[in-house]
Amino acid sequence: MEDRYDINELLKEKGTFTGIDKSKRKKNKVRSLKYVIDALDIKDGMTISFHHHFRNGDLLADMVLELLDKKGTKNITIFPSSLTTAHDHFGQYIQSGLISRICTSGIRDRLGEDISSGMLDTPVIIRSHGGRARAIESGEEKIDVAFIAVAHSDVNGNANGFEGVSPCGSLGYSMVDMKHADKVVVVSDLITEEITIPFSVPSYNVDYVVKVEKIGIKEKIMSGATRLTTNPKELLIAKRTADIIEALEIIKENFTFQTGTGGSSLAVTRFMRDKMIEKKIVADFALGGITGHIVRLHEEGLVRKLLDVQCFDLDAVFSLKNNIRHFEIDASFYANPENPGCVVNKLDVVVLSALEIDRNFDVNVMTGSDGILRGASGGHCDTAAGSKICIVTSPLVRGRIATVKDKVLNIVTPGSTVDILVTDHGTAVNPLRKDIMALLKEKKIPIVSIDTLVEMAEKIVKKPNPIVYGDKVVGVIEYRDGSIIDLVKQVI
Amino acid sequence: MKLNKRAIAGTMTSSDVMIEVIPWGKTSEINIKSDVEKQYGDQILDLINSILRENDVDNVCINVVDKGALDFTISARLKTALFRAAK
Repeated sequence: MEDRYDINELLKEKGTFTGIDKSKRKKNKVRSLKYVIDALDIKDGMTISFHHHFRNGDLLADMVLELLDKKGTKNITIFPSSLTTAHDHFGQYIQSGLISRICTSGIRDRLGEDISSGMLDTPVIIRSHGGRARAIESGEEKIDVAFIAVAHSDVNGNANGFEGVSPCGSLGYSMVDMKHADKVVVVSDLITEEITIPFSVPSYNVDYVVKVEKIGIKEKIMSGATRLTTNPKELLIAKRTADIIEALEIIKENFTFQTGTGGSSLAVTRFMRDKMIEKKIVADFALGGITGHIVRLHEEGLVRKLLDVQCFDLDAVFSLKNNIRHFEIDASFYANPENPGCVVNKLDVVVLSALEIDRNFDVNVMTGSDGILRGASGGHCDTAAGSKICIVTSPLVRGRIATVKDKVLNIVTPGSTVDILVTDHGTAVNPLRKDIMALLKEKKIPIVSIDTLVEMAEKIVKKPNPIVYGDKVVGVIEYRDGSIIDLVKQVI
Repeated sequence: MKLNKRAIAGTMTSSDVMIEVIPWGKTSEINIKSDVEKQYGDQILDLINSILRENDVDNVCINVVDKGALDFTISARLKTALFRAAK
C-alpha cells in the first residue's frame, strides 16, 4: 500500500513538542463591564442581545446601553427576549441615536407608547419565543454580542441563574443566544473561584466574565400577572375551564399541560389539582413559565416533571435549584417550530389569556384597545399551534373594553390554532373543531356561538370610536415560522 | 334643579367613575379624564349633557375621572352627585 503521509510534512506542519510551562497557561480574568464594552468595540449596525428572566428587576440592559451611549455608539439593534417596565426609559437611547432597531417579544408601558407614537424609524420586530429561537438558529438574526445576566458564575463563566444573592431561575431564552452569538458576556454579582455546579451556561460558550455590584432585583421577577386571583369573574372562568378540560377527557394518566399567566388561566391549575386528586391521576409534565402554584403540584406528586423556560416567581426559582425533575429548557427546545421535537408539540392542553379575541378566534396579546403596544407575544402562538387543545380564557369585557369583538386590532395568534374560548358570559368553540363541539354537547357543557358573545359584549360597552392610525408602520408581528402575520400602525 | 354646594359621587377604582359637581357662576364646563377617552370620550360627554338637560342643570362645572365605567354607572354617579349638590 502506498504511504499516504509524508511524515516530514506532518512534523513541519504540526511542530514537535518542545516542553510546557504550566505557569504560562491561558487564564480567564474577571473584568469590569466598561473594560469589556471597550474591548468588544460594538459599532454601527451591530446586534446585542439580552434576556428578560429578571423581568421588571432587570438591571443589565440599562447598564450596557448607558455605557454604549456615553461612548457615543450609534445605530445598534437590541435583541432582548422581551422588554419590561425595567426598560421604560429606553426612548432616551432611541433619541440619542444609540438604538436604531428593536427585536423583542414584548413591549409595554412608556416604551410601548413611545414606539406607537412613531419614535423609532424602523419598525419593531415582534417575535414569539419559538420564533426568536428559530430566527437565531436559522441565522436570520445574527447576534454580535450576547449579554447574559446570571446569579452565579465562576471565574471561567460556568454559570446558573438560581444560586447567589440575585437569582432569576431558568436562563432558557439566553441558552439559545449563547450558542450562536459571536461573543458572549456573562455578568453577575456573585463570581467564585470554585466551579459552579450545576451550570446552565458552560464556560466554553463564554468569552468574558464581568462582575457588577448588583445584577438584578429578584423581588421584581414576580409580576401582578402571576397572582392567584380572588376576582369572582376570573374564578368562574377558571372553574368552567377546568370543567371543560375534564369533559374533554384530557385529565388522564401522563397528560401534559401549560397554564399561562393572567388571573383566570393561573386559577385553572387550582381547580385541575382537585380533579387530579379525585381521579388519582398524575400528569407527565407541566411546561412553560413556571409559577409557585405549579411547583406545589410537582412537590405533591401530581406532576412528574416541570419543563421550565422561565421562572415567574421566587418559589419557582427555589424549586429549580432543589427539585431534580424541575428542568431548565432552552427556548428552541420549548417552541422552535423548525425543531420537530419542540416540546409545545407534546402539549395535551394549553390555557392562555387574551387582550382581544374576535369572530375568527384570532387573538391579540400585543396591543391594547387603543392600538398602543402594551403586551407580549411570548409563547402564545407557539403553544396554541403545538397543543392538541388550546383554550383561551378571558372576561367578556374589562371595564368598558370589550375583549370579545368583531375584529381584533392586531393578530398574534391565528384563530385556526385556537379551539375554545371561555368567558364569564359563556363558552364558544371554534367551528373548525367539530370533535370538541360534539364531545362538549354530549357532556352537556353549555356552548354559545362566538357571534353571540361578540353581540353581548357590544351591547354592554357600546360601539367605540375607531382608532385614528397614522401611515407609519411601527411594528411588524412575525408568526413563529417567520412569516408576517400583522403590522402595527402608528397611533396618533 | 338648583345646585347649592360642591358634591362628589363615585370612586376611582377600576370600572367606576368619580364625578365632582361644582356650582359655577358662568357657562357650564365639563372636564373628562378617562382611561377610554379615545374610544368613548364623545359618548361620555353626550351622556353627561343629556342628564344635565333632563335635570335642568345649568352653570355648573363637572369634573369626571373615569376608570372605564359603563353608561349606567356614569349616569348613577352623576345623578347622585347632582342630588347631593342640590341639598
